[in-house]
Amino acid sequence: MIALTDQQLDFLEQEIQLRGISHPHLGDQLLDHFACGIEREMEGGLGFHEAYHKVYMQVCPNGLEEINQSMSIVILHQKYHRMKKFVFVFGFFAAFAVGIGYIFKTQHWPRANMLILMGSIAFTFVFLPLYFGMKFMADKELGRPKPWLNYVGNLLLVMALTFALPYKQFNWPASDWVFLIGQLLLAFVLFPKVFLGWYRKFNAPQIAQ
Amino acid sequence: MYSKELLRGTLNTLILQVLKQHGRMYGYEIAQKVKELSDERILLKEGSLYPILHKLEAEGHVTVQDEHIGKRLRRYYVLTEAGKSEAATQVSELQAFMETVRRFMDPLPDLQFSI
Repeated sequence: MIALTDQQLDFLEQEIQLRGISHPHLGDQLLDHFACGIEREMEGGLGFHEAYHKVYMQVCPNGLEEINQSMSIVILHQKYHRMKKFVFVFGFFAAFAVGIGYIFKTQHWPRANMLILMGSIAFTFVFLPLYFGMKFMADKELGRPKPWLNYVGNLLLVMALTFALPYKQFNWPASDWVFLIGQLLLAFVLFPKVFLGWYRKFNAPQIAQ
Repeated sequence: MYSKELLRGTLNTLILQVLKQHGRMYGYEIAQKVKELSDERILLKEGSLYPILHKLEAEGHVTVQDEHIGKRLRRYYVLTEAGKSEAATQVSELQAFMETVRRFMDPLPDLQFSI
């Protein structure tokens, strides 16, 4: 039975690393996988390099990067799933606190301001940055990140909108201006962006499954 | 070779079943076994195999055992009890699905009347 030499294994290891396999155990598994395939072909009479080329085309005709990306998608999905649960539960409770706070306010019940304030702070300064951070990480891992300014811009826009109302309500400094700017951003930036996005999605060609 | 659309959704079940039937296996061995059992109609691509194995490990359906073979590190996969139970469930579901699909495929019997 043919076994690859250390030099041949070093060559394979280098080839795998050159292709940017970033996941810790994937590189080791691919090395073993390639080695097994090459040994099998060499037992059939092929030389090392011929066997390597043949196995490479069988294992990854579109390049090793494709395997790395498939693995990234699985890992990202797992990370994303865990973090998503936490972020959205947190966001829900923050929004819920604000909603309940306004009910308390209209009913003149105690602690209304505290609920509105805590909920708004949690939603604006914890949930929103986490959400946009997750979005950026997800897009980056999938190899299609937008410019970072896009994420920061969207984050600041939504933060301004969500905090404008409580800011006005508590009559903090320049609250009229803050509220006005928030409403202008809503009317002239967010609404056109959202509705244009929906319109485009609605009109996108449907691909038959 | 079967199309990707047919294979999608069944690869997980095939891998679990192969591990259940053959015990401790490593990645290359799993791919070769699937190829052999399917008469080369199912060629398990490494871009599908290793992510599925990683997912099965994360879900607790397999455990891993690493062994050094010279300079190589070989990772063996073994079904856990949860994995064996999951394999049985998925196989049963796939068999039920195949039985349902078969009803669409079987032609109606020819009816002949003679007067």
